[in-house]
Amino acid sequence: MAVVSDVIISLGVLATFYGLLALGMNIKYGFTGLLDFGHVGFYLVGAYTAALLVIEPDAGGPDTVYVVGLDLPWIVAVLVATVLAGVVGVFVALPTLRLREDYLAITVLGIAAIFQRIVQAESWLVNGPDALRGYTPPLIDLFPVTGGSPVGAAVMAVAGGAIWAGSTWALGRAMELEFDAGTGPGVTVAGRLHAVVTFGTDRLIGFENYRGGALVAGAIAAVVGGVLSFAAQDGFLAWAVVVSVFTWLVAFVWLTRYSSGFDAVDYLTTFALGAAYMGALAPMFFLETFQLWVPLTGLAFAVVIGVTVYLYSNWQRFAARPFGYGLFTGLWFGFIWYIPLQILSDVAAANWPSVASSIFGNVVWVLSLSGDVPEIGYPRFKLFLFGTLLLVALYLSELTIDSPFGRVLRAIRNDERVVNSLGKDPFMYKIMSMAIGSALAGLAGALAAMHFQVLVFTMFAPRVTFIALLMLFLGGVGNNRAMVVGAFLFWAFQTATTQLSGFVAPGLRENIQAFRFVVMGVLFLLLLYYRPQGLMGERAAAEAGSE
Amino acid sequence: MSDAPLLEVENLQKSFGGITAVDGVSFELEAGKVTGLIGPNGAGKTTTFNLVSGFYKPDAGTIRFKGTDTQTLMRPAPVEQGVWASASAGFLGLIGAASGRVTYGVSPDVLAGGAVAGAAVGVGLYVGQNAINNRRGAYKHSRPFRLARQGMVRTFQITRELTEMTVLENLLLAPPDQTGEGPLNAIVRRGTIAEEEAQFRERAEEIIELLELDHLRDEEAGNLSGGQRKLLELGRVLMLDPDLVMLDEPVAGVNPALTDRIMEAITSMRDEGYGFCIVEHEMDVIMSLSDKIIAMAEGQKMAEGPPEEVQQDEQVLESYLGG
Repeated sequence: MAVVSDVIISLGVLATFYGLLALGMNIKYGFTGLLDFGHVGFYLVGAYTAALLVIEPDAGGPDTVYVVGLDLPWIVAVLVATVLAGVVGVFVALPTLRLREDYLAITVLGIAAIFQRIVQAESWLVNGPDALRGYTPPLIDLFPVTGGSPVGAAVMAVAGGAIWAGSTWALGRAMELEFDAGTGPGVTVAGRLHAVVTFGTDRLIGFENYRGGALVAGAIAAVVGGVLSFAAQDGFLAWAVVVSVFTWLVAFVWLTRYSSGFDAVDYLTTFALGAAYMGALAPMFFLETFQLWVPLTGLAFAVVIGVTVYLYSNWQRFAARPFGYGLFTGLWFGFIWYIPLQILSDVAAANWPSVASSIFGNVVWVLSLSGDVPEIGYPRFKLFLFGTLLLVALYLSELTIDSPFGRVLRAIRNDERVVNSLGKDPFMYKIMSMAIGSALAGLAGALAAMHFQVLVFTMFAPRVTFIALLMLFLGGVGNNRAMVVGAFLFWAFQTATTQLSGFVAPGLRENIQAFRFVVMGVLFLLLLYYRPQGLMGERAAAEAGSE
Repeated sequence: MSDAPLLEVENLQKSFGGITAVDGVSFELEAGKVTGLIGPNGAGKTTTFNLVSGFYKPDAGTIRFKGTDTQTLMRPAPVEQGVWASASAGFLGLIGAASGRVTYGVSPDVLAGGAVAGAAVGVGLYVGQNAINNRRGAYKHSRPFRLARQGMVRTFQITRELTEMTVLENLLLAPPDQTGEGPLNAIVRRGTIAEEEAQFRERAEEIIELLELDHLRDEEAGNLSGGQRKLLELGRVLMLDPDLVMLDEPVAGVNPALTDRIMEAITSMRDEGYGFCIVEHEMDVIMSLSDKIIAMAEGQKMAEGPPEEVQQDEQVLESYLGG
């Protein structure tokens, strides 16, 4: 039985805090034009600050030496780490911001390198070149939780309620867009589903107030889920199924919005393309000899890419909707991996119970079914926690950027002297931008410390900055929401290649791991060449395009 | 202070390398008057503009705006002083604590004492260097935005519009002291910001209409023609409601009908009491618009007076108007 929903969950966890890191970069570079190659330095500050705040005081053992351990709760640690990274950002900004773009980039790169070297060399500070470990992430003792217990009920109530509220909001938004297009309430799939998931309250509250309605629905769902989970393990399982299915339905509603105008031909073509990309990997699965599958896989990929490019440039349907075609090809590819591929060997062996449990486990993503009992494990809780923080940070960033403050930042990116001539001090704004961006990096660092449970100086190499920049360019410069997309795509690529390397001989595995950076570099070059504004483009443009 | 002229310039000097761009220029500008600045290319008009508006530091000479030396006006804002002083305090406080730790060991008293002493030294150092710099004659502040806040606003000869922002956004950027310019306010005081935005938007719409840019309201400024950019820059300045407007070639590349409109706008604003200083090569425009003309050549003032008088000046005729 292969339950790959766990893989997606761990991918999601990485994508959330890298998304925060990219969000910080976007505030600095995307909106203000400050090319901060030392972004990782603030990530480092956040990570080590959080770790030192939560770790227990050094007992004087010979293994681990660190300057101070405060044994504080994580919530304090995360807040302090965020604020301190912001303050360090100001300190770094004061001397460096007088420099022009490229000089600024090099200088802050140097400062980040200094931070990294300090951590590496000063053995009294955070255990020298060795790893700092010995702290535990928050609430880990409670997990995994199952039904029939107060903790399980509480977790299901909070997480289930929040997911329910979020999904209901997304559904309400889709419905609102349909209203704008001229349909009435309750007519479309989205409208009917909305009536069901709000437990009928949407008529009382009014469809226009779908935001408030989502909160009410979430609260009801929290109570229902809590009670069911407290009553029995079966109730816990049943409610998890309901929540999971609901999220899938919302995803389908939104996908139909993106595929508006698609007919059977379009669906089939994108499916064929997705299947073709998956099929291009087939030689890797079936052929043992490396001399055989490498050229074959390469050839297959060349053919499929060639076909894609040919269709894009010569076929009216594809050329008219490159976004929809790209999205759906990718989705079909992911879908083929997520369900059919996982049950392939079981189907061949006619092991039907295993097929069923595999599908069930991947559909009911809220629960982990890898163990003996369906449960909510710590990774899922972490994804929920990080995801919530990311959404809050994203919302606040959007508010800030939509305000006159954001307007001044964009003006500075355009031409600093204009801002100066209009009576606004560009220097102060750049400092504020550095502070906010660095604080976001610090938050990402604190979450990384929580996630990895061990910190080594090598984790804070300049590479991290460039990964954040890659995510920035992948999503779209100056588009906060695209940062999440960029981070997710990056880690999806990483996860996919890691999964792939599982199929090859162990000796080759390292080659694949190294080779994927080459592939990534080539893809990045192509992206910069053909779509420098990123997949989603700058926000204003993205909105005009999709709605 | 109210008797003082709007702007007094005395013996202004600036050289770049071996070239003396401005060589001892003195003049006065009055509120409610339009002053034209003319002269051949390289006469030092734009340099004078940059010096007066604070974008260049003068080598010598004084500039007084509404009776106050612009060097005083351009001192760092209290906020900026606060940032530098606290950064200085923080940094030296850290050094103080660290040296306390190294010298006397880890007692909280020593650490706190070291930090406080360091912070005090830090603040002292910042305030001290600030005081010394303000007294030093040779020290020149350069914070043009401080002058703009006092009511002296300029445009640029080569237009500098914010190409990636729309015409409306360009204008909305200008109003001073917007509540939403603080990142925290942007989150917690959205109601106030929305009200303010509505007001600014109304004013911006008026200006857009005045400058006949209505059809381009949501166009990115980068897509505008040269003349339209000139208008946009003028509009941005008007959003600020300044006392002294310095325009560097406001009608270069603008069609005749719009030129008339701009001239009308300038004249009516002059009658409301605004002061203008305009560099312009269009002789018809500058002569009919100005109450006073200053003619420059080779970094020096050649003639000064009412337009009719300057037009008759032998030197001016010879070097510039091409007699």
